[in-house]
Amino acid sequence: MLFNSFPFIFAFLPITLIGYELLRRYGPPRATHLWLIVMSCVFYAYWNAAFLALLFVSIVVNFAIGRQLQRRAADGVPSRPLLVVGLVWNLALLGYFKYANFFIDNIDAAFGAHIEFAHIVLPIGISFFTFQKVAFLVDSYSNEVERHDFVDFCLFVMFFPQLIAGPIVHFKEVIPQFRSAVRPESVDRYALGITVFAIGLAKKVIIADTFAVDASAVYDAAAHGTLPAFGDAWLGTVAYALQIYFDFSGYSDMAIGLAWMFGIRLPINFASPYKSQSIAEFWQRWHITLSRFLRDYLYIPLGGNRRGHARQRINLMLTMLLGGLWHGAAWTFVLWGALHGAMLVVHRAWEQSAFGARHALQPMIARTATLVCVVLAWVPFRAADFATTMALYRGLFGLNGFGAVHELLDKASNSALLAVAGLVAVWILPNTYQWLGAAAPGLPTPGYPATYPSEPPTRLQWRADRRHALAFAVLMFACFVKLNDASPFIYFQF
Amino acid sequence: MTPHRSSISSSDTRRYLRTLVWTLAALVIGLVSITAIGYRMGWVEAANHEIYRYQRAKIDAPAPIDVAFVGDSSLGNAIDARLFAELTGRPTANLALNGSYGAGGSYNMVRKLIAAKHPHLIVVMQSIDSMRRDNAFPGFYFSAEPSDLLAMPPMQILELYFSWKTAKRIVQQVAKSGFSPKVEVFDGDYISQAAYPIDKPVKQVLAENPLQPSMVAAAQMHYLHKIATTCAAARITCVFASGPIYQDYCTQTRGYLDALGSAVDATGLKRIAGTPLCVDDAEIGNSIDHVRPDLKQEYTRRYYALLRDVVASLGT
Repeated sequence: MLFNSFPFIFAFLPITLIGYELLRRYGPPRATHLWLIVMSCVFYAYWNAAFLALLFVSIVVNFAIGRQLQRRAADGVPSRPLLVVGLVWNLALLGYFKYANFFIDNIDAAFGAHIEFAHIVLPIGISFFTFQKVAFLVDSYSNEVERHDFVDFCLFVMFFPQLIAGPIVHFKEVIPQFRSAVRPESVDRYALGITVFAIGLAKKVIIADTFAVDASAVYDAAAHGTLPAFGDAWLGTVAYALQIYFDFSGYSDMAIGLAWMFGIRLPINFASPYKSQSIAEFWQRWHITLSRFLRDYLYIPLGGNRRGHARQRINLMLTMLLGGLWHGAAWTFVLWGALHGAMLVVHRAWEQSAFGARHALQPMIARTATLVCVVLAWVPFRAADFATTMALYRGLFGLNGFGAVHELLDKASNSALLAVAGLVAVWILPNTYQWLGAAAPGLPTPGYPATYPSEPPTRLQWRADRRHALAFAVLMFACFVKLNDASPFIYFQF
Repeated sequence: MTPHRSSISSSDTRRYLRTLVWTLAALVIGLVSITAIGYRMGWVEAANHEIYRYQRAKIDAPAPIDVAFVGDSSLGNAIDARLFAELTGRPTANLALNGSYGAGGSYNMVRKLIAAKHPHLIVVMQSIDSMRRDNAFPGFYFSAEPSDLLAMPPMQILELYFSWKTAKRIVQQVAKSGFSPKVEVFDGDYISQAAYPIDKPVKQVLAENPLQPSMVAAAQMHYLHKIATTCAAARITCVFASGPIYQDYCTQTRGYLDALGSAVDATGLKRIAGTPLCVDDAEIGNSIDHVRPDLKQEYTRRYYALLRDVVASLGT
């Protein structure tokens, strides 16, 4: 079920909230937990009920392994073989559903094997809930998981705001909140939750879907053999950079707003990533919960920066290659990961060099260079294949020609101006959590850029007053009238 | 974990929430009211009750119907039922609605027809252009019986009424023509063509409406499948024929036509070979899929030629 759909907004969400409030007031203890699990099952089954069984089996297996890991860890004899079994189970499921077809296709292409293999449907959200369970098992092994029961664990995996596309939460982040009997007043939860949800919905249906039109026009034409000229290539690529940011950060805002309606704070996933002054900073601001997962469960176990510069660079590269592959079973995603890995390696080498230490870039130059690199790296992420990727890169560097002057002027009059406005907005405007200020319901991740302002509120900051209420009502109405043209979130395919 | 910091008071929040919810509710109710009134008053083509009532009366009339045509305006402008009856020797009715009813409207006409008359042959004739439109459900909804309402998905009904595009069309329609809906003039079979040729060059219409293989509307196929199932259950021969279309669509939308053909085959309806009939510049009427009124008999004969074998195979 899409957050940006009539059935979700006008049926599923109101029913879930009403049931939750009734059970909270009149039901037995923890009835709300069971209710949220049941409704999360409905939410998931709306897409494909068959995969609910897979999700449930995976939950049972992980709960059992996690329980054993916690016992052994509490006894002071953590069981590495059991951890390996758990990790293999999760990664095997992910591997089968997400990568089996990719693997077979590559064998076919390399050896002309023509292996007969059914097309496997990817269970929605499997990449996200697999990572969540992997983190749970590792934390169980390290004895960092609080006491819990099966209901807690089901809720941790299935809580519908974060089930399909994150944020990738840690057990210790959400379960203590669910177990706590204290909840903010319902009026506070709904006022802020609806506000954050509305911001996310507007980012998705008004902004991202608008940029999607230009991005799709250029990339789809290139996929069908059209060589994009300079202006088209830049327009399509910048439009996509804006589309994916507003699409995914919009989704994350909606998830955070929804969770807050139930009094749960989910971690903030985006902190103005296009304002970053280096590629390393970009990864501290973009998809923060994935970034910290890759750091904690891949980069650091690989050795991180503890084994010398050369090994650190290899670790960075490996982490980003796997991060790329996690996004999708295609070589274009691997290339995207490789580009980011290479940029991180170059950045690290620059920082570690004597020259780099003496010549820090001006902030504006650093920010511009980072943005250009990130935008260029989105090309393989969006392109259907390598041929399309190369067609776009040739266009971006002017090798497909510059197009007629009148075409450039035509574009300057509409789509390009919109793209420029979008870029300016992501550069100068505060993000959702800065704008909401101290009231914001997202959970900051320690060690990542602060997302709450330290300075006192400005005049532009959100306030719970009538003016803002009217503005948000109109904004939500504008979003609702666009729901008939709803499109899925980009990250749902991962 | 950082404790949640709240800088706003509960009374502020309560007022904020109340204003937000009531304003949003007022806007939603306002939009739904405009579309509901617009539909009720016939200010939207999808709710063109006049054509529906006119064709429905043919079913309710005592005259027998042995061969029936259901579909959109491409049918309405192409088939002369009296001539077709003469050619086949079978009582024939042209029950065309319009493109806004889509296959959903045709499905309801088929159901009503079968319940009232039990004909031997039903020809579903839709323009290839209308089979890309996402309006099969509105067409079904506006031609359904009240008893069907309970079986309809409430979310789809909500989507129908919560439509900015429809509200905009209603406001434009009222601004242009006032509060009285346009009165249609019927020619015995269908709405008379008020003016032709088409007011916009046909090539321009084609350029503005390119048909891609991916554009075949699943919702239209859904109702064609229901027609096929209903006909099979009633042991009635039902076939599908594409209505006439401007010739450039025949040549420039091959991929779409192939995709449409495959999709229709998958519904279980038998497709009549040789359709769509392609209409050249000199024969086009007031739309890309309307033939000139003076050529209606000529096109009836051409469709009869394509349907002759099917008609010949019918029982008495």
